[in-house]
This record gives sequence, C-alpha cells and structure tokens, in this order.
Amino acid sequence: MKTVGAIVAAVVMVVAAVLIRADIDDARNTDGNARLVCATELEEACSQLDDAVGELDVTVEAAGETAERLVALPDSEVDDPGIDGWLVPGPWPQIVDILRGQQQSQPVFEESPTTLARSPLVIVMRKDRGRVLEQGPCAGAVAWPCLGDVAGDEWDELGGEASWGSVKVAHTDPTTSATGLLVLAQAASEFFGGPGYSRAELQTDEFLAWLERLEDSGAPAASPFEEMLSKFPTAVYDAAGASEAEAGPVLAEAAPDRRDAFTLLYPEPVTTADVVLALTTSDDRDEDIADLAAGGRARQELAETGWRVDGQDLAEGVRKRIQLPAGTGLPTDAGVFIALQDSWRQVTG
Amino acid sequence: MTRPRSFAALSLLLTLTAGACSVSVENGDDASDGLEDPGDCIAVDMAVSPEKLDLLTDLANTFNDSDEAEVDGDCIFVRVQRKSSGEGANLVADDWPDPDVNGPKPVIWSPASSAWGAVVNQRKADAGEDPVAPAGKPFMLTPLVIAMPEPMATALGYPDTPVGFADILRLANDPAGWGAFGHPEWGPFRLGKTNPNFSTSALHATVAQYYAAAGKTTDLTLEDLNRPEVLDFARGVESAVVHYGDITNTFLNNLYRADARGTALTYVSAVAIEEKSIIDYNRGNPDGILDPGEKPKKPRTPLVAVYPKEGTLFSDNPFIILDSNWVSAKEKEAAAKFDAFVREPENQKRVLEFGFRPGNPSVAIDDPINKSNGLDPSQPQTTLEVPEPEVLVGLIEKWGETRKAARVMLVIDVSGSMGDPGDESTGETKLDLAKRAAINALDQFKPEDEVGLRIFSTEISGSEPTDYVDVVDFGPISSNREILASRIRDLVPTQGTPLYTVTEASYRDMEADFDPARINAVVILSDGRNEDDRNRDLDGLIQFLRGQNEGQSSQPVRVFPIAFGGDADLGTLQRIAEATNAAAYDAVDPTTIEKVFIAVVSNF
Repeated sequence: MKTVGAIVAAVVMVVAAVLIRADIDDARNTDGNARLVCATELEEACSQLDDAVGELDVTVEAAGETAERLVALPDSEVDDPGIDGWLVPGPWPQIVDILRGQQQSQPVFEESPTTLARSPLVIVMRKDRGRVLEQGPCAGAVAWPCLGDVAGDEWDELGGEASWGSVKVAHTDPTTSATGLLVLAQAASEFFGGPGYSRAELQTDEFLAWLERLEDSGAPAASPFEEMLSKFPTAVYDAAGASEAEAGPVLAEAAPDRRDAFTLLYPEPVTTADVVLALTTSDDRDEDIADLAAGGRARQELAETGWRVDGQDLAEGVRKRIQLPAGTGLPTDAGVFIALQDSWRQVTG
Repeated sequence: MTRPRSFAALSLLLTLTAGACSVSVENGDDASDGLEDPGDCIAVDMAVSPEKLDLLTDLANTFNDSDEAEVDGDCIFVRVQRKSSGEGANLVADDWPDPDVNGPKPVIWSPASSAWGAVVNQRKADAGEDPVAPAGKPFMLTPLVIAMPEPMATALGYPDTPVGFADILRLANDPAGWGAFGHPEWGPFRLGKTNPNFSTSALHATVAQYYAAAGKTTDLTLEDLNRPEVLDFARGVESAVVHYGDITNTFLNNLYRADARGTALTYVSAVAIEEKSIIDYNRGNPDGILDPGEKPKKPRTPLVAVYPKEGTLFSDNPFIILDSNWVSAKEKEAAAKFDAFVREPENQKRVLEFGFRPGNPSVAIDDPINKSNGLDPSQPQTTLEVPEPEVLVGLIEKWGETRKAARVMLVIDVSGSMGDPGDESTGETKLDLAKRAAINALDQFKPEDEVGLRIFSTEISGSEPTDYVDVVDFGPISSNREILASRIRDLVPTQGTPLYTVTEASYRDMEADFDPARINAVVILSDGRNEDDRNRDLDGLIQFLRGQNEGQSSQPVRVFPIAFGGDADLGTLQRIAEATNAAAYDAVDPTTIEKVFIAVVSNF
C-alpha cells in the first residue's frame, strides 16, 4: 500500500512540476517580442505604438497594478520579471525599487530611466465656478491650497448658485494611478510652498486636516475630468486634477458647449508629469526595448496623443505658451511619494 | 461559511432582482432567443439592460456589416441579448450558469448603472475571488428626474422655482395634499415608486429620498438611516405611495391609459424615473417599446421633468468587458472594437435619437432632449453622491421596514384544470406549482401586511356565495403566515372558473373594508377562462372596476391578475388589471410562477 502511495505521490509531483514549468514558460518571452507595459494614462499612445511597431507585446494597466506585482516579485525571478520595459510617468519605477529595497529585495529597474515626454499638471475647472473662486475665497488664481480650503462648502455660501450644491474636487486614486499620485504631490507642494517638504510634514495635523477636507469633497474617480465632460451640464465635480496630455486633447475635441464651459488652469509654479521608459535589469531583456527608448517612434506617438516632446509638433489642445521647468517641480525623493500615499490612505480610510 | 451581513443582504438583493426578471405583461421576458449564428466570426455576446436593447441591436447590426468588425483578419459578430441589470449581476457573479436557459455567456455586460459592476466585484471579493467587472466607460447617460404631469409641476412653480426631492416629499406628507396648492380637485398627493430591490431607478430614488430626509447631499451614513426623524420622514413619504411595482413602465402605462380617459391627474402626481422615459411617454410610447403596427399617440397631458435642486444620480450604462474566465483575449480585443465603434460621434448621435445623453463629450446634447419634450438640456446642475455599498444595503433594508403596509387578498383558482400537469419533468400539477410559489411569496410581505386567502371554483360551497370560500381571514402576516401556508398546502382542484364573479366580489369586499393607510389589493391567480354561465358580463365588470377607481375621492383597490398556464385568459386579465390601474402578470409557462409571484408581491 505504501508503494502505491509513493508512486501516486511521485506522479502528482511530476505533473505539478510540468505544470509549474509550463506556467513559467508562459510568463517568459517565448515569442521573441519585446514586452512593454504601459500605464493607463498612455493607453492611446501605446495602442498606436503596438500597431506601428512589429515584435512588440504591449500591456496596458494602472501603474499601481504593475508596481504591486513587481514589488512582490521574488529575487529569483528578477532575471525575468515578465516585462522588458515600463512606460509610465515617474517616479513609479523608483517607487518599486524603494519598496523592494525596504524588503531587502533586488531592484528590478536600471537607474536613471530615459524621459521621453512631458506634460504640465493642470486643474480642469468649470469656468463659472472658477470665476466665483477667483473673485471670492481664492482671491486671484485658483490653486490647490484654496481648493482644499473650500472643498465641501456650499457654493451659495461662497457667492455661487445654490443649484451647484457643494464644492467637489477630484483626482484619480494616487495608490493606483500615476497621474493621481502626481496631482497629489502637486497639491502638497502648493500647500507647503514648494517641493522640499519632508515625510514628517506629511503627517502634521494641519496637512492631514486639509487633505481630508479635500478628499471628502469628491470620491476618487477613474477619470474625473472625462466624467465632468461627459455628464455636462451636471457638475459631478467642479474641479479635477489631471495632466494636460490627458485633458487638453479631449477638451479640444469636446462639443462647443463643453469647450466653453471648462478651462484648464496651470497652477504656478508649473509642475510636470514626465513619462519615462524604465528598462529592467534582466540579462534576458529584449534589447528592442532599449531601441524604443533611443528611437523616435515612441516619442512621436506620445506627442500625437498630447504629450510634449522636444522637436515634435504639439497636439491639438496643448498650449504653446506654457513654459515647463527644468525638473518636474515635484519632490525629487520618490520616498516622499510613498509617504504621500500613506497620508492619503490615512485620511480616506 | 459565515457571510458578512452586507453580503447576505446584497445576495438577497441580487436574488430578488433575478427573481423579478421583468415578468409583467408590459415588459416581457428577458430575451435571448433568436440570436443569429455568428458563423466563423468571433462571437461577441452582449448582455444589456432592457431599455437599450433596440439601440444596441441596431448598432450591432451596423457594426457587423462594417469594415471595422475585424480583428487580425477575423470577422467580428456582435450579438445582443436583453438581461435586466440585477439578473445580469447575479449571473456574472455566479459565472453565468446554464447558458441554455440564461443565454450565451457574455463578453460585454452593460447594466444600467456602474453600481451593479461594483456589486458583482464585492460579491467576488467576499468569495475570495478576483474581480471580473472592470470599470467600463459610460456609453450613454440618463439622469433620474421627478416626472410630473405638467399642470401639477406648474402648480409647484415649475419651471421658474427650483423644486427638490425634499419639496416633493414634504408635499407627500401634507394631509392637505393638492389643496395646499389651490387644487383640491386633484386630491391627495400620490407618489409612484418602484421597488428598489428590482430597478435601478428605484434604488436611485430611494437614495435621493434618504438624502432629503437626512438634509444632506453627500456622505450619507448608516447612522443617518437610523435617526428617528429620518425614519419618520421616510414613513411619511411611503404613505403617499399609490402602489409599488417592479418597473416604472407599470406607472407610465397606467398613467397613459388614465390620460386617455381624462383622469391622469388623479392617478399619480409624481414618479421618479429616468429622463429618457419622459421622452418615450410624451411621444405616446409609454413603455418605450413599439409593437409591430402600434402607432404612438401623444398624451393629452404631457409629463415634465423636474430636476431635483439637491442634485440627482445618473444611470451611466457602462460597457463592461468582462475579465471572466470564459472571455478570451481575442474576444476582448473584438469587444474593444465594438466599444470604440459605439463611441464614434456618428453612433453617439443614434444614442440621442433613443432619448439618452451621449457618453462621448464631443457630441452635444441635442434633440429630443429639449423643452418641447418636457426636458431641460441645461439641467441637472449637480449630483448626489452614490453612498458606500454598505449604506446602499442599509437603505434597502430600511425601505423594507418603512414602506407602506399592504392589505392583500390572495384569490386562487382551484378549478379542475389546476390539476393538469404543470411541470412534466417533476410530475407536479399546476396547482402544486402555484401552491409552492404562493407559500414562498408569503416571505416577501412585511410583518405588518395583512393578507387573507380566498379560493374559487364553481359550486365550491354548498351555501351562498357558492363560487368562492374565504379560507383564511385577514390578519397580519406575522401571525397568520403559518396558517396561510397550511391552507394553501391543502388546496385541491375542483370545478369550473367563475372568474368574473369572484373578481367583482373580491373587489367589493376589499372596498368595504378599505384601509387608506395601506395599499389595498387583490392578487388573483387563474389558469383558465371564465366558465360561469350565470355571469358572462365582462364589459360590465370592467365598467364597474373602472368606475370604482376613478375620481379623487375613490378608494382604489388594485387588482393584479396572474395568467397561469397556457389556457389562461391573458387578454381578459389584462383588461381587469388596467381597469384598476394595476398590472397583469404572465406565467403562461407554469414553471415561471415562482418568479412571477415574487414580482407581483413587489407591488406591496
């Protein structure tokens, strides 16, 4: 009886080993194509890239999803993490490697990824609401500190119309969305008067109370500015953070009544979302992905979909006269972004 | 396994909704028959909520014939089946069992609201499974509005004075009714509401009602739902309800018929429905479905949309390309092509033709969303926040507690034909099936509801009245549920079907003991035609019922007939229902009787 049991166990183990090996092979680059993962914000550009470039497998998913998977990757699989490159607004690749470092794991990405394109961070604003804020509580230009102060207030108490309800401000989820995290960093930079704030400052009562007020006014949405436009004239949100690349072209194509009702605000100082192509440290990496970083095709597709690329024409809806700073204007330490996510989780429960 | 309370409640919601599956005569069954063979093409099956079936079928046909219906050299064939949002959610959450019965497993699911996708994912998460319903982009939109006959809205100051849910609900609570606005001839304020266990618009309306009761527009909490003043407000509102229903079309069809008789203003004063439904009604197509040969005729008194000043909620009609294990990568790619196709500006203009607002912001809101249809394209101005899932569940539970109580006479046909086979696979008779369904439906009443049981067949009694017998006297269901179940269990088939006599007698008995604080109704289940030589006067019966139901001082008793089995006289039962501003239900297939009974009881 023992012998039979041992044989059965051996067969099970062999079958299991074969199945596991098959899974691993499935995950590996078996068709010879370079594997590019794109953040959701870059879906349109990546889709065009996929059509234009042969031998490229493109996956589009939220930055937080990719990050979660890569942070959990065992060191034994760093040699083949399932991707060759990640096209995403920074500093997500650095976030992944910081989090891996905290758990004593090896980095997944090469240092200093190539920046391919940039876009200023904007506030998509209902014009009529914006005018009320400029003339009242914001006393001039509408910016994040003021938006956080008035978030949740009734519009008729601020000089607006009762039918507008309360002030609702939104952005995408900063724990999953690349843009959402950058918008939150922009808001915090404005709150602290610059990008040099520390992780400890993100835990002060004053900041957390302000952030909680801001977040309570409008739940994180998958794409708040698109929702604002599609549900117009209803103000699902009165203001939403986004990148110009996402909002500008959509607003430019919108029906005239919507174009007239919304505006893009560029808070001063200008801050940017910078799209990087992060290459994995894997020895098996398909070098076509490095060519993608060096070549012009990816840049061209990004430019056509609203991102700013040196030497490329601006897409419709991208403003010519906006000067971008040398850096992003946001914190340079990716660890601060992780701390920002923690503060956000704290106030939103 | 112990399930969290919220999951149990959501499961109940899903089960009830699945049970409803739109079985009233006015809405028709969920349809998956007659789907075309996709041939060698990639089949992209869609399950869509009923209100957009025609539109999406139309767009799918256009797409299938276009050059865009291709992926990697393979043609794409999109097939559309109707599935109510709640039932679709239930099926997706259960991995779409039994495609022979439920239709093919969908690649794309388009319920009326994104909230249903969240419900499915929560159910999956509670079962330790991955989500299957990723957020889909809105394909088209329609806001929840308060529909009112124009003269009534005008009396409230429409269109110059902003009106909100709170105003409407306060009016519903005012004992002076329309007298407070100089129109005592319109009688009390009558509110039309559907059952939030069944319809998306009803769920949204209940959310709005509780926001108004709590004096909030955001952040509705479970604590709010338990505040005494909120519950009192809710009970007051429910007291103004005419009757509930599984679908808003029931109200609109009844209102349309009442309008034809010049009595629209005494049937219902306001009903929370989707904006699109007002366009259909004002076009003379109250249920939004034109049967072959049906020619729409505009109502005498149009409806207008009151956009609640507090804000409202949208049905956003997402296109959800499922992450379920039966959907292949190629099917997803093909589905994405159709998704992109329906968002093209040219196709989004088709959306407008059907009365919805386009989801693509490059297409402006245009006709028929205009003032001539009773709508205002510059409204609504703001939204109400969709509460957290646990609050939604709490709302439904509270609605169950505060809804208007009912006084219902169950009238069951025990004629000889009820002994005929009902389900050949089990050998059960029609009466067996009806008994089980009736007993199960007793659980849907709330404890305070009063229910009595009458059975009928010719010469069933040796003394007058000879054609029916009251088997269980009226009493709260909390105390007589068991005796009702016991008596129903004991029923046996006997003689013929004195349908007209028992209908009139039941109506008169209910009217004699009319309780204005309750929904007063007769549920009559019959499997055959009137077989009573002593009473063949259908026109007289209809005239009697209609006469008793009209006028602002009437004491309306609603008669909800169930046509049971293939020999049932559905046409006559429909006339009886319409004469009392109720709805007839179709259980011509006897095995559907359980679903039908649940749908009928949703009116109370």
